[in-house]
Amino acid sequence: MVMSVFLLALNNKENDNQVKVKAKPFPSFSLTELQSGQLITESIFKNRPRGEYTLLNVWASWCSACKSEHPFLLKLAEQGINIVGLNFRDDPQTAKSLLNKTGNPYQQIIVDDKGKLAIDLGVIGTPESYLIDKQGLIATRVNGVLNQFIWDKQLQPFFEKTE
Amino acid sequence: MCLLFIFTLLFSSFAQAQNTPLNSTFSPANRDQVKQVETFNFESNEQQTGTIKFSRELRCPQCLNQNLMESNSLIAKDLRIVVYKMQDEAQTDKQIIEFMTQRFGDFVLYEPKFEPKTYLL
Repeated sequence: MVMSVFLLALNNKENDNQVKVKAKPFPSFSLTELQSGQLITESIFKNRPRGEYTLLNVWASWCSACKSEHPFLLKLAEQGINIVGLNFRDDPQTAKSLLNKTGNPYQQIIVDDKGKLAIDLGVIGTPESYLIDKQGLIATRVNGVLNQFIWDKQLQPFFEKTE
Repeated sequence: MCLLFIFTLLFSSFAQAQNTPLNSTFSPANRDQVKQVETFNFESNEQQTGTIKFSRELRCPQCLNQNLMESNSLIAKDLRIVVYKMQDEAQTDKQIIEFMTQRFGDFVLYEPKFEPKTYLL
C-alpha cells in the first residue's frame, strides 16, 4: 500500500520541467524595447499580429544554453509563432550584435537589465519560456532549452486548441 | 607509455577547461548587484542578524539545495536584495514568504506547508 503510494508519486510526470505556479496574469512592467528604445508594457501581449498565443523567451547573450536553443526559436518564428524576448541582465549592445550575427526570432525584446521583471515572473534561470494568451494570462511555462520534443509535448497542444 | 597517456589526458582536459569561457555556464558577476547586496544599509545590527537568519530559511530557486545566503547565483543575489528591502520596509515574514511562493512555488520553503497534499507526510 505504502509502496504503491510512493510509486504513484514517483511516476508523476507532470512536473518534468514545468514549474507549478497558479495561472496568473503577466506581471505589469514598463521597460524599454531593445531595438527601438521605446517604452513597452504588458499590453504588448494583447495586440500581437497573429494567433492567440505569444511565446515569451527569457535569454541573455552570456547564456550558452540560450545559444543552443536559438536555431529552434528561429524555426518557430519562421512557422509564424509570435515570439517576444526578455533580455535578462544583459548588455544591450552585446545582445544586439549577437542577434545581428545569429538572426533575430523576436518580434519585440523587453530589456530587463535589473532583473526586476524576471523576479516578478519567477524566472529561475535562462533560458525559460512562457506561453501568454491574448488576455495577458500565463498559460504555461517551460524551464530550460526548448526543442522540438518539448514543444510538441507541452506547447503545441495549446495551439491546437485554438485552431 | 601509460604515463604519457595520462599526461595527454590531463593536458587535454586542462586545455578544454581553458577553452570554456567562465561566463558560459555561470552568469557574469554584476558589480552593481554585488555592491548592493554586500553593502546593504541595515537600520540596526539586530535587523541585519534577523534578516540574514530569515534569508537562510529560504531556498534559492535556481540551486539544488543552497539557501539564499549561501548561493552566489544571480537570482539568489537579486532575491537577497528583495528580502532585505522588504524587511527594511517592515513587511512581515509571512508577506515575504507569500511574495516568494507566489513567484517560485513552495520549493523555496524548507518546511513544507501543512495542506491536503502533505497530510500524508
